[in-house]
Amino acid sequence: MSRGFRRILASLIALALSSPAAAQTAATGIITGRVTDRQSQRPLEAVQVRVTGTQRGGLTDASGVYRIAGVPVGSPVIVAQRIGYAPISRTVAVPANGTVTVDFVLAISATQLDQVIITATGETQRKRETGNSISSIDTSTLTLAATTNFSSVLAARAPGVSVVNSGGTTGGSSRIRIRGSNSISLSNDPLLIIDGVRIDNSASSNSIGVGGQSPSRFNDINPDEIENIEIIKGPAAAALYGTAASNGVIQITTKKGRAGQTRWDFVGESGTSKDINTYPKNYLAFGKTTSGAFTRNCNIDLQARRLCTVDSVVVNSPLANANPFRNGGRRQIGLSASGGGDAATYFLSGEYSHEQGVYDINQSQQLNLRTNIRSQLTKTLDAAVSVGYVNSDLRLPQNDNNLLGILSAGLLGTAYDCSPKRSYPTLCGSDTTSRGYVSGQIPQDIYAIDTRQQVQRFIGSVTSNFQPLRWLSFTGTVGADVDNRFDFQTIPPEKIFLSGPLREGSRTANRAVISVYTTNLNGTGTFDVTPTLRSTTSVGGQYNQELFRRTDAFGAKLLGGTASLAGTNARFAVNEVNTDVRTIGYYGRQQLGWRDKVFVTGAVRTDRNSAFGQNFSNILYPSFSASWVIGEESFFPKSLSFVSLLRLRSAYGVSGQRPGFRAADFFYNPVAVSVAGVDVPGFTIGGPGNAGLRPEKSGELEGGFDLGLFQDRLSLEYSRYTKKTTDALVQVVLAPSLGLGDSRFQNLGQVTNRGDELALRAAIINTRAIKFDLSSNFSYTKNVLDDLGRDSQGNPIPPIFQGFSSTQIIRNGLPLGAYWQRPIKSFQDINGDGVISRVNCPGQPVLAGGPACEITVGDTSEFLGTPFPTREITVSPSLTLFENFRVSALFDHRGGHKLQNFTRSFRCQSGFQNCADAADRTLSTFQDQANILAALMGTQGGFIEDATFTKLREVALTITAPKSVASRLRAGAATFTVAGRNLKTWTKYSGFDPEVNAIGAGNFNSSDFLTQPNIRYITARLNLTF
Amino acid sequence: MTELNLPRRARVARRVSRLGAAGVVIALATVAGCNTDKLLKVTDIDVVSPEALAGKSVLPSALAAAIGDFAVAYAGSNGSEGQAQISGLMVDELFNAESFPTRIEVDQRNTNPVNGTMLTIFRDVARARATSDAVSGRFKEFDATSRSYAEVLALAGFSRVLMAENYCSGVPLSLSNADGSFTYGTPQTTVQLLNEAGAKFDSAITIATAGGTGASSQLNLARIGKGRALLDLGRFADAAAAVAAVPSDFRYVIFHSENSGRQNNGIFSFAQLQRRFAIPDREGVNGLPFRSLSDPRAPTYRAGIGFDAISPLIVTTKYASRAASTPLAEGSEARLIEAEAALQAGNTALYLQKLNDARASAVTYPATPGGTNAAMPAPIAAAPATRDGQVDLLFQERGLTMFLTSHRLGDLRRLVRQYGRDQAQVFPVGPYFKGGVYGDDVNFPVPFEERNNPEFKGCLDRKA
Repeated sequence: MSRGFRRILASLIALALSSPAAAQTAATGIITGRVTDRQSQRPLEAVQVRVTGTQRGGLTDASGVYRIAGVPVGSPVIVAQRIGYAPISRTVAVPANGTVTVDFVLAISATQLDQVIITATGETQRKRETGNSISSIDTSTLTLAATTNFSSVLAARAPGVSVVNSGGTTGGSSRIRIRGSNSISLSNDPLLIIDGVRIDNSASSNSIGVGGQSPSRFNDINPDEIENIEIIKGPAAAALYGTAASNGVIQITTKKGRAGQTRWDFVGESGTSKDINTYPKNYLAFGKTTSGAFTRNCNIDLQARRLCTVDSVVVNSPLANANPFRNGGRRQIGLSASGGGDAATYFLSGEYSHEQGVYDINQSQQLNLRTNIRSQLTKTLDAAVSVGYVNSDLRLPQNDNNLLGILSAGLLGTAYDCSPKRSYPTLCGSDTTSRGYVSGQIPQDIYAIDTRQQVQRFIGSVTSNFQPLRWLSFTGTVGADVDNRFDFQTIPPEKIFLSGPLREGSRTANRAVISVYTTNLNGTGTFDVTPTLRSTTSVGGQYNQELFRRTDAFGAKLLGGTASLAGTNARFAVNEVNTDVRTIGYYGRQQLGWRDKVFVTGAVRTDRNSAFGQNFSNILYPSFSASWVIGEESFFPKSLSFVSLLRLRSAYGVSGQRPGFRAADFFYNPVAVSVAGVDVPGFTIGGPGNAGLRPEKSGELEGGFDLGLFQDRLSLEYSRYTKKTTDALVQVVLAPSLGLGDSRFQNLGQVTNRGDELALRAAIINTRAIKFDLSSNFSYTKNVLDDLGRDSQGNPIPPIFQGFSSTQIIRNGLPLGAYWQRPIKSFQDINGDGVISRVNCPGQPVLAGGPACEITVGDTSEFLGTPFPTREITVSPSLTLFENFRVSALFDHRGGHKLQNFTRSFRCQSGFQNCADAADRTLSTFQDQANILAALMGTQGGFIEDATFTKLREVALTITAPKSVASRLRAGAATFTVAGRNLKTWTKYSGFDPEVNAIGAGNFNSSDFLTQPNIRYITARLNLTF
Repeated sequence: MTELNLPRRARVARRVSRLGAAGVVIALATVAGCNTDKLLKVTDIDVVSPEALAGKSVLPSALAAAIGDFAVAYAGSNGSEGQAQISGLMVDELFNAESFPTRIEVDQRNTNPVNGTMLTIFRDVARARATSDAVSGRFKEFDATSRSYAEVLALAGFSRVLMAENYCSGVPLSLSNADGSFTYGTPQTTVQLLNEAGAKFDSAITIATAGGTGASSQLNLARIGKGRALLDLGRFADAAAAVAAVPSDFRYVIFHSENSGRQNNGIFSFAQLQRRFAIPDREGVNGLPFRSLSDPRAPTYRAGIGFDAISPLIVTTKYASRAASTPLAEGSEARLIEAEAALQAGNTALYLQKLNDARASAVTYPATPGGTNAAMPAPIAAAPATRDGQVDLLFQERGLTMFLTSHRLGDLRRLVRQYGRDQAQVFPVGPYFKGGVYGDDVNFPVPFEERNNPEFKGCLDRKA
């Protein structure tokens, strides 16, 4: 530690120990009051009233009353705020041991400039003080009935935050990106923080594959427990979060108690879900070869090459023969209590949810418990304890890239049903059970495979604020996220017949403990340097440890009737995975605020990490931001009276991402080897290591403005950013001839993301009878790989291929994961026979007397599109009638991207060749035929499709019962909501759903491959408050 | 006001405040004074560091490392194919019974250098080469007279032979240095690879010869390896001389086990468990009639339907379980080398005798799983009258005797290179049963990813 830093600490300690002064200046008082709506004069509930610069604050109760105890004597600034209303700040004189009453009257507003946010140091500050764009999602304003999990709460709520579902599997994950992808080879998932504690943010958290989908730890979070979500979008704002924050930060604050009588909140929800897709049938063209022999696959290509003639086209739909779908549903019930007094407040909640997917075996149940207690221990010291517990049980179906998959086996199945008619006994052979499913069995039989994940997760933290002097405060947080995950699979014997091992049965049982520990300590001093200049200085440190411990066990030849390793009898296998990554960081931050209109902040953080290479020590992350509320300046033109608010802001910051555990080390893996028929210990090369490995750095420059018009009835927040990731960790593919592992991490690459974000909020009609609000977000993201780097001899690193059939590429000048294939240049039915043919094309079969080449594909691969939406537009109107009826909707548009329709490709041109396009020329367009032929000519270009879509994502009708009605239920308030999700899709994409990914939440790999499309939900929710 | 005069609650509050102050001080002091190096030190218990593998005591594990990597490269595992399967897929020993484009293009003789399956397979053989070279270096340092040293050298030679026989001319051999840097190899021609292999076998023979009878297995392994390399180089008489002393009943096999997936026999696993590869009959016009011949050296039977739900899954009892061993070098191969040398020398009688010697010593397998090993058919009564016929018979005998042991692709290339036949006369040709036509590959390209080696720009040539 540097000498300078130690001096600063020593000064702070000395200040802290000056206890007589502290006792004298830390006398406190109480602030209380009532908050009402200006329009209706009614009390406003759930208004946050906070003492800025501290953790102190409270929420109004149903009567609009709040109470904050232990406020230091002086003239603090008090802010009352609620989303949708203009916050009000008041400077209040707090008397020693006395009570001051401060009432607030809030007016509807679309601007959020004085909204309080939580900084990386754990303190609060108003939005006006930061030069960054930070989005807030207030769950109290959301219609949670329309959301199914935490990922869906985030979807389409904030500009620049992209949430892409991987499909309609209950318990599946989503790919969450904030301002695009930064990292070539590391995770692009944002950092997740709950009540100041970093938690496991694995978007794909499983050890037993089911074909593509996997659970996300994001969805362990219960939206009903959340008070507020802040999205810190990039390094410009996240620099102080250090070596983990380059992908942005999602900061969650859970609900806290409020002083007053105990309030009970009940929530009950029930609903249905349904697969709404029409699936294609399987086709085959039966015919004769030139020798007269029967062929069951006389496809359009073979026809055009005159290798066969069609006798008949047979059609079958396994998915109809043995329909695997059912109506699913959701049930949820929860109860919470909150209350307390001056000394302590509490929030207790428990909620149970159960979701039945659209397959019998796809089920999820989750129990969430939470206890949050905040206590004012003394006038200068408070402590908040936040404890969350999750117990979940998820059963996943086989699907996606999996021959046992439900859709997979049906859509790749045969075009003839072997039972009960057995119209084709020769082809069916002994098959009497498959009904056309390629797995040889109907899905209801495959359901015998039991693949589950059970999670018991504890997330807890203790945060304490200590304010020994009026101008000096300390905040400390210690916390842990401990996740006990149990992945297991039981394949009972004599149930699955696809292969011998499946028939024998087996048991896999993998137990993992994933722990993240956080310790933060921060000290802040606030001085009024002059009457108009306020200085805020913070220094602090952070220690994080990410531990992963997993033990895997497998056994085969399972004894029928057992579902335990104890019942297995062969091929036993065990394995362990242990990783441990630790980070230590220190930071300092200085903010100057001038006349409460101009704010300038500079900060720096330095980190060391156990995953850095041994030749690298520490990294520095600087940041700078400026905010100017120019609209409040006296010189601002009075002629622009319609401009009620204007703020200019700009920020620059750097944050990073560490290398993976062991990535810096050369190591060997232990293996067993058969030597002379005996199993002995051996080893094989594991990783080549790189002692110079350092974190990749993302620097971001952002600028923008906040504009309020017409008395804040209309607000606009615009941001433009440029984010450049340098020293990007590239998983450089190693020359195979080295005989080492596949790749080695090197700090080589550079990635740039540029984008624009616009958030619009409008209170269009605001009368007592009718309120009509509109909010809309727009974002544009351009991602490009500037440079993949060069090897030690200065040669460019060759592109890296990814995706099914290597259709995606990491290549200079292109977006990460770009689709890269030879395109179809042209096609034409020259001889007018109704089918496009590839005969007599260069490199293709020659057919004497056949047509001239009818299709041309490019000689070289080209950029065909990015798998990530480049533009996202959401529109959310909300109409409230007579304060009791509210109808809201959410339209979600995403465009500028492509998706590989590998489902169609695989059906049409692989060994299965069972799509209508391939079998029957009368059912296919020339474009369809060209796509198939191009695939036969070696390019998937025809199946890389425009995936632009617009979805009616949510519609909700909420009825707020009049007090008289609520009281009949013995409730203080009652609301009833009916909501629908995934109601309508407009798209030109030819697959079932343009919003799926067979690789779940994979980094870049994107493909629609036999994936369950998103399903429609209709739910009803009752909220009662007592 | 003194503290004593304060109300009890206030005194408690003050104590707690002081406790808070003390907590802050302690926390800050802890942060300031602690050794952060210790906080950042983590242990990694799952893997082996290079330091842990120093010294003579690690040689048995090092030998296992070399054998293990070679086993995966040669016969595969339950996770990837080895040279024995993938070379068989390209020629007439196997056909594709599944749906993966990366394997279909191999079967179709049209392998793209960008091919994930082929990348893994090439990495495996390159790793086998690198590991056997590294391990032989350790033996040289710590136990230079060990028969195990000879064995590892022989495996280093066979790794090169596999590369030479199955890949294009221009396979580089690169080196990872102890300091973490790399020495990239320049592309080696097929002849260079075979000469290097020969040198490895010579070294192995020298060490094993000095080892006496206790090293006879290693000695005969190296002799056959040397004979095989010389045969590939067209030095038929030298090849015959190299293997002359190998007993006909000699066998060196790669052992497999059910113990772990990596130890599984990949030929069995990919065919019978995963149903990806099946055995054809006269594949692409020119293929051998493996099914029709019903030869006990390569017996076939139907085991249901392939992964693609269409192809008949014809498999062999030669590899009947995960633990079935894979022959690498057998006495029968030595006799076949001698037969070919005799053929080249125009000594038809000796040719026929050696063919029948090979037949007599060849290992046979049951016709169906669980049956008893079938007896060899009667000796060949007479050699074909024509030289072409004699060549055909020789290569058919080789194909059956060394079925699915990564000999067939090298043999077909030799038919083109050494016997002047057109590739279209020996490799599968014509319409491909899954659409399209067979390509004209006669070997595998070095994967695209080798371009991360600055010395490598592509195959030197793709000729046979």
